[in-house]
Amino acid sequence: MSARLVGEWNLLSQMERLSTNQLYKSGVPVTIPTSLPSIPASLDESFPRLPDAQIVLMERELRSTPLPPHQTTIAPIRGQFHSNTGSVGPLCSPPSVRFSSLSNPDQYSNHNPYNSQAPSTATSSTLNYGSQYGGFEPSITDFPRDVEPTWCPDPVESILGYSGDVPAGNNVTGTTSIGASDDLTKQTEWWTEFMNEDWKDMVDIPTTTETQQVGQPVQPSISVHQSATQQTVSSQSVEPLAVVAPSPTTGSNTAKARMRWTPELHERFVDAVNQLGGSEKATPKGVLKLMKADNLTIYHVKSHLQKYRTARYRPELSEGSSEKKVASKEDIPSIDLKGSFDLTEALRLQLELQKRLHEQLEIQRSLQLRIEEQGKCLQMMLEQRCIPGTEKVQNAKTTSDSEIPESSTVKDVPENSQNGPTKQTGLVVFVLSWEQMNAIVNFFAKPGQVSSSIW
Amino acid sequence: MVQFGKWLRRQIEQSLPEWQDQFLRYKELKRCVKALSGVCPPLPAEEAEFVAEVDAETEKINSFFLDQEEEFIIRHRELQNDIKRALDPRAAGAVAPAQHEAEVAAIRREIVNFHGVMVLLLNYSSINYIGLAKILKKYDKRTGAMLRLPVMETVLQQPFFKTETVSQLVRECEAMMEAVFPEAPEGQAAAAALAVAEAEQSIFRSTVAALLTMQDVRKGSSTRGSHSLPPLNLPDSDWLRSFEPPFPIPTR
Repeated sequence: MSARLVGEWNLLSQMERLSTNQLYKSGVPVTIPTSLPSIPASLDESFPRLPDAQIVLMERELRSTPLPPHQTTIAPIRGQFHSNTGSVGPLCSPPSVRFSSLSNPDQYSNHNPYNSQAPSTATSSTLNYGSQYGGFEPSITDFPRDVEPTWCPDPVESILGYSGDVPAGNNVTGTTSIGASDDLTKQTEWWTEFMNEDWKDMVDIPTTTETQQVGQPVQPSISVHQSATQQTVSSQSVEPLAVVAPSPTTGSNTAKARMRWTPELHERFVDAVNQLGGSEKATPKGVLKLMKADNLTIYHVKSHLQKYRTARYRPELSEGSSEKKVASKEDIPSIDLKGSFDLTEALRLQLELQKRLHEQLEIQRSLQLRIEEQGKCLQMMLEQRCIPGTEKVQNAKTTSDSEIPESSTVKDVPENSQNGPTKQTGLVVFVLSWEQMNAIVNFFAKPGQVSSSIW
Repeated sequence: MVQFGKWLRRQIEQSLPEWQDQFLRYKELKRCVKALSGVCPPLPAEEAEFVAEVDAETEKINSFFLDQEEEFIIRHRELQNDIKRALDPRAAGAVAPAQHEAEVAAIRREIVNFHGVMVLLLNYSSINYIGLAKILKKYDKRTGAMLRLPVMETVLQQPFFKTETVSQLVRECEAMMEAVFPEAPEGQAAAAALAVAEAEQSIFRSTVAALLTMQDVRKGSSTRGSHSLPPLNLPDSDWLRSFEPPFPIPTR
């Protein structure tokens, strides 16, 4: 896993080194958005150059610590992170985690209206939810270990520096892809500006979180906030599962469930159609039978068959007309060839432009993914620092000398004392670096006084 | 820096006409956020309503994306078949070279346009992603909630953001191009050949222009006399005129 990620990063930086070089070489005018240079600097400031140890140990600690049901953790992120307790657990336990003062059944039943599917789907969305984190955690853990501590800003910096390099103008072809290239530059600007603000906001969170967590009135609203999050989760997570084709996942039992077609599935479809004598002769029922795919309904096959027929019908029309065009110009083939040569060049250029756009979109997407991951990471760390009396705090107190204040919730966490040595060792080290974090976050809390020297 | 809402609107305007209604309705969502009571932390009813709206938008985006993706998968396969047929040596021999050339040219254009529209869908995905992130941030700012991160986590899992399949099709398209396009002229010799061809092109075009101008000039004037040149009526003038606007390159 880790090697793959490292390889990925290398490829990424290679890709955009290439694309930049190519852009410069090709002589296509390149514009570098002026806002970009400022981003790396601010990323440097506020982006956590998390020393590997911190991330790794934090993750280890998270995984080995199931959050006890009756503990009150306020922030949604925390709850979600700890929800990866396998099988049906995740969707059900968060309510218990977060709504300690509310009845769970009520919360849960509230979510059902937002599910268009049967409860089994809710379960499956849980699985999806769980797997989302299953996918997430290892990547965070493995990655820093294999890359230098300073990986965070540097590749990001270089990518940001390059990702805006999109051919801004190309007066040979004025296709929509050009407009898109220009706007990709803008997109990158938006994204980086947005993230930049984001980090500043995020480091302000400690203060806001603290004020929010005081007192009783806070609880109901936050729990509803949780329920809203849950609703979002349940209604949004349902779709990917319903949509995953035709792997044997639960859910997607209604005819209206969205099917996600893949090239492989389509291949099977075409085989079935051909077996039945072609797109005109084949019936949805017959195709469905032959395909033997799970989660595929006749409704899906019907609509797909319709699309298939349309796709095959139109090319026949266009080919016919192009043949007619050729016939009228048959007497002057040489000029035709010249014309087509010129057109070929124009097409080639158009393709090049589109390729660049594609490349940049890919880079941007990877960046977005990584930034979201880092955002979660940072958020978690800030919250852990802010929330008094977390289990970590309590354990830290039992295992090492620390200035972390005690809190009433400490008594509510008996399970943690049973933890194995690995966890505690991890916690010790975590605490030591928590002190650092504390200092840093305090430092960041003062607006305008951001410095990268701490890291 | 242009305001995001304005930028988004321009993006949408510049996009393919059929896609205009499929983008995130950022403006409406912004209104929704503005209409919030601004209570901090947010009222449950308000938050639920907002989340429902975001869900609905996401669903719409997903639906459109999946629809397009399905079409692309079908089209991709058909295109591959077309290429095989066009490149088949037997087929090439069966038709006149000019016709074959035309077929190949049509396929090339098909590939490039297909490639383009897929990349535009990826762009669509990206735009909507950013829009969602922005509107959630607005919400958080207004209500002091922390809705953005958890919701964005789920967005990362949405079909419209999981663009691997379309991306793969794009790459396969690029590979198809290699098969169908003539060797990219490389090296000095090829560049020279290219230059010659281009020169020929411009000579040809200039010739056409000259002919047509001559025709216009000699069309017939009121001051025609015995010493005037006779009107020039080129039999192919209509056909020649078809070359007039510098060779048609598709513009938006």
